[in-house]
Amino acid sequence: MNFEHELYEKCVVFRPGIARLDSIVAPEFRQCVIDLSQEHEITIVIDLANVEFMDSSGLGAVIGCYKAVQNSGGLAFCNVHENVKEVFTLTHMDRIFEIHDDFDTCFSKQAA
Amino acid sequence: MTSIPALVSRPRSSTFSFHGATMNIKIAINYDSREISNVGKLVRHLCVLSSEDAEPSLNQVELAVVELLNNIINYSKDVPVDGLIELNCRFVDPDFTVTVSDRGQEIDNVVANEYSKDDIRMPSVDISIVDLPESGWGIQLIKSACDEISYRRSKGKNIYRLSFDLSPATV
Repeated sequence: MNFEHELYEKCVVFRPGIARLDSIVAPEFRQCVIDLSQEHEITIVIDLANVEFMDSSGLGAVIGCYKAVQNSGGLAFCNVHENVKEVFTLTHMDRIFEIHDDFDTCFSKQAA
Repeated sequence: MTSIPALVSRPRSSTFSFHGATMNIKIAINYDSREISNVGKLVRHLCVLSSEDAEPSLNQVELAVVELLNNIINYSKDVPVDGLIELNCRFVDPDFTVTVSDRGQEIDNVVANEYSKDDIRMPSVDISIVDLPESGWGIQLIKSACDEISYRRSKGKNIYRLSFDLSPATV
């Protein structure tokens, strides 16, 4: 899988280069975020600009990440596609997750 | 021009028929998770071909089909199944219906009843973070995405019927 990340002073930006977050890629996605969190112990910003579709397996992986990083800086999302946002909304996880419309807003919040 | 995705393996049977404002297409796939994404994309394309009003419903149609196939293939891991999963996609303006059948073991009563209930009961998120569920969302997402859903067991097959109203006023 094409999972890229960039390390900044106060956050790690994780950019999954995948169009679909589904049962095939969910386990690797989850492990990658958790590994980053354990390695750097700062907020993980997940830039979902490439992800156009997410199913419940992907949602489960995202929730697993969210739970796993609580004690090491937390999690924030940006550039969430409408299809993915719809799943967050239907499941009410949009009330739980920190979601920003764009990367700059999200990054500024973490750097503040 | 959109391209039709290729399946991991060639569907062993497919029939196509268009009759004016109606469409009927059959797809058959293996019990293989790797085929789910392409079937989801294919059904999305069929939806686009069916109705120019489909755009607002496309993610919901794809999501419901993908979630149902996830469930069917997960069930088949306990007791391996011979044969194929069959999907029959039918559009009769304005209804897009996907009937999915498989020869896997009969699903248990609790799950079967859940498919039959109209109310959508998403897991609660008003709980502590450590207790947030990482699974159990699939059936409720299917019910959220469909206008109607039914399940029945007949002649050794599980038969699911997902219906979507593509008329502009409902989306």
